[in-house]
Amino acid sequence: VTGLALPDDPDVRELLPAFLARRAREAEALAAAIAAGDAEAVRRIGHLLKGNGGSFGLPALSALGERLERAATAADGEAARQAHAELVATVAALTAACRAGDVGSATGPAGHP
Amino acid sequence: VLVIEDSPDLAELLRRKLRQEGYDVRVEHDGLRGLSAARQDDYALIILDRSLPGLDGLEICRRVRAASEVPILMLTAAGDVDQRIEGLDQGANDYLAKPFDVGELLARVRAQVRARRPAPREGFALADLELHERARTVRRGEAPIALTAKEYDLLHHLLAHARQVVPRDALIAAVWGHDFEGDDNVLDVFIRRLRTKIERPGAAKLLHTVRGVGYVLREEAPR
Repeated sequence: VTGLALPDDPDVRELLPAFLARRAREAEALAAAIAAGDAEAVRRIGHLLKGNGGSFGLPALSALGERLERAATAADGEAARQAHAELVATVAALTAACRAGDVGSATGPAGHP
Repeated sequence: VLVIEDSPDLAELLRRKLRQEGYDVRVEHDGLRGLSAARQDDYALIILDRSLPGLDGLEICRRVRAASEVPILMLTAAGDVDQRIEGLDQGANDYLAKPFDVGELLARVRAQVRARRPAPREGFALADLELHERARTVRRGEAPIALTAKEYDLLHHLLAHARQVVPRDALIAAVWGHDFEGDDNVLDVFIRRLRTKIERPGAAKLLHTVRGVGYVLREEAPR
């Protein structure tokens, strides 16, 4: 488990709880899409995550989005499940850090600082 | 600024950041509503997401550009060169790939808005005669020329129409107003004074009389 920095920007910090709540809902929809073998839905959710994450100063989320897009294109269910599990853990870690008001010390999955 | 972006998180972040830069911001999350908003008002800039529900960003770009010169900054998918080319070909002024740095987006907005705004005119020049509007100063070569307010207004109007014959009545209206009811010989008096101040022996003659019509400022080599 490595450090996952929360953005310093005060506007982003203020919007972050709603942003993460939406990502948590997306993670639920993603689980359903993976279970149903709906590659297009997996790709779409990955695409949104990629665009949103980095723009909010959270490149780890963009990286997960990109992995989901690749998994969907390759019809690789296992890769999609793994990325989903990391997404759930990352969003939970960021949400906890947000609640603690703790900048720069959230913990996320290994390999995704 | 009009923001057409379907991600509510990103749209809200852009709204906040643009407001902090002093822009009035309207946000639409749907392509059709976005196009309708784009047609309703004159915006300094439109930030347009490429992928939108309702109507594609590329189609919105094409339709807006057909009727307006408003700068369009398109948000495209990272790494998709085709999307960028299509966007620019359909009339977008600039693009930014998602995910983007908000600071960079704001800098691109400033650049587009600046490019659309005409540069403030600093003044006029003819040969070595220069008039600086903001400082209200006049010089010929290196030598400053002191003018009265009316002399300055007269020279300003003539310089603004340099190389064009300006009729007497147009000059009188510009300097003394349309309601002027005095003796129009006053113009000849001011022209004579102006000539004394701006012309230099041995230098190009600038202020010329067009008999029966008016006056013109143009460079004429000394005889």
